[in-house]
Amino acid sequence: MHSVVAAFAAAWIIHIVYLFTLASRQRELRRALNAVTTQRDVR
Amino acid sequence: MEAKRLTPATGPRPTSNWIVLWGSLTLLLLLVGLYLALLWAPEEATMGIYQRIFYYHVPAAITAFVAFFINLVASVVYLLRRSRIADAWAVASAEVGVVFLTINLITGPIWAKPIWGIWWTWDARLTLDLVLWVMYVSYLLLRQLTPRGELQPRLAAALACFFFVDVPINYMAIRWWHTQHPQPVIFGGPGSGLAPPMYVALAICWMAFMALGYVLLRLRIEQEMDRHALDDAQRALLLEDVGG
Amino acid sequence: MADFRIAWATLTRDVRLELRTRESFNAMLFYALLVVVIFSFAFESEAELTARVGGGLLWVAFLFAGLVALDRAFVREMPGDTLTGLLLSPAPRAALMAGKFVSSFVLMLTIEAVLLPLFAVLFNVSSEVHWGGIVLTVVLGTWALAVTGTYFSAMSIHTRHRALLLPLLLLPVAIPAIISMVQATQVFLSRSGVANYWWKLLFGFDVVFTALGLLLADVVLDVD
Repeated sequence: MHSVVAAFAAAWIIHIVYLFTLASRQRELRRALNAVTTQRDVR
Repeated sequence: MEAKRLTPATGPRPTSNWIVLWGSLTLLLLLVGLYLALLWAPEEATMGIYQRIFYYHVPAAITAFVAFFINLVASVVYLLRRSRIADAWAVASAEVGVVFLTINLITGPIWAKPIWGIWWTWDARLTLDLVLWVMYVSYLLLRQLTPRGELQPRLAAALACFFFVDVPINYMAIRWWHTQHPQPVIFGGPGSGLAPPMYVALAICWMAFMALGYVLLRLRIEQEMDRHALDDAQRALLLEDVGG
Repeated sequence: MADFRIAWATLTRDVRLELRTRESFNAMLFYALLVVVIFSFAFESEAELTARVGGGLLWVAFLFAGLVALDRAFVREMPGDTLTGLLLSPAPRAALMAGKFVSSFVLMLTIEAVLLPLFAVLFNVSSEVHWGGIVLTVVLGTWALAVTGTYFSAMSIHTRHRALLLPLLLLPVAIPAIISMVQATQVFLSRSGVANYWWKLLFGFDVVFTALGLLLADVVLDVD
C-alpha cells in the first residue's frame, strides 16, 4: 500500500516541481524582457 | 537602428487560450487516470496492489521515448536548417523526456522492492533506461555549460546524433552482457496477458501523460523562444550603444 | 589524397608537439602509473581477483589516463590560439578531425603500452593468458575511446568547466564500448570462452563512430 502511494506521489511531485521550475524561469525571463523594453522606451 | 519587435511583456499573452484548454483537459485526464488506476482497475492476481504502479511506470517510459525521438528529429532538422524553432523543440523535448524517464526510474524500484525483493537489478530494460537517462542528463548539462548563442544548439544537436547511433549498440551490448549474468529474479510482470479493464486504465494514463508532455513541451518551447527574443533585444540595445 | 596529407600533417604536428613538451607527457604517464598503484592498494592484488575483475580495473585505469590525454587533444591548441589558425585554413574539417583522432589514439596507446606490463606485474596476471587477444582488445577499445573522446574534446573547449564536461559527455556515449572492452579483456584474463562477439561489437562501435565523427566534424570545428 505504502509503496503504491509513494510511487504515485513521486510522479506527481516530479511533475509539479518541473512546472514550478518552468514558471520561475518564465518569471525571471519576463522581468528581464520588461527591463529591456522600458530601457528601449526611455530612449 | 530599428529594434526587433518584442513580445509584449505585460498584458494578456497569446498563449493563455491554449494553456487553459489543454491544461484543464490534461488535469481531467490525469484525475480520471488516477481513479481508474487506483480504484477502478481490478486487483492483479499475483502482484496484488503493487501492480497498480505500472499504470504510471509504463506510460512514463513511453512518453519519455516519444520525447527523445522528437529530440532526435529536431536536432537533425537544426543541423540541416539552423532554425531556432527546431532547437527550441530539441531542448524542450530533452527536458520533458528526462522528467518522464525520472518518474519511470523512480517508480520502477518502488515496484521491484515488494515484488522482486530487490530495488534494482541490471536487467536489460532497466539498464537501457538508466543509460538513456544518463545520456540526456549529460545533454542538458552540455547545454547548460555552453554559452548561449549559435554554438550551443550546434553542439547539442551533434551530441543528439551521437546518442541516436549509440542506442542500438547499447541495446546489443547490454543484452549480451545481461545474458552472461545470472538473472536474480523471475520476471512475472505484465505482457503475460492483461485483463481488458487494465488496458483501459493503462491507455487513459498514457493519454494523460502524453497530454501533460505536450503541455510541458509547448510551454518550454515558448520559453525558449522568449529567451531568444530577450537575447535579440539585449543585443540590439548593445549595438545602439556602440553605434552611439 | 590531399585530405590524407592534411590528416597526416595534423598527426605529425601533434606528435612533434608532444615530443617537444615532454613534461606533460611525463606527468600524464606518471598519473596513469599512480592510478594502477593506488588500485593495487585499494583492491587485494591477488591472481584470483584479477581473474574475476581485472578487466574492469585495467580499463578504469586506462580511462583515467585516457581522459587526460583526450583533454589535451584540443587544449594543445589553446596557448597560441592555433585552433583559429587551423580553422581559418581551407583544410577540410574531416581531415583535421581524422588527424586528431589518430594523434589521440597514438598518445593513449603509448601510455597504455607502459601501463599494461605494470598492471600484469602488480596484479599477478597469469602468464598463460592469451596476450594477443588482450592487445587486440586494447587497440580496438582505445580507438573507440579516442574517436568519441577527441570529438567531445573539440566540443568541450568551447564550454565552461572544460575538463569536467569531457568525461560527462564521453562516459555515457562510451558505455557500450566500455562494456565490450571490459568483458573482452575479462574473457582473456579468466581464460574462459571467446571474445568474438565483443570484438565485433567494439569494431562496429569503432567504425560507426569514426564515420559519424568525420561526418559531423564541421559541426564542432567551426569559426564562431
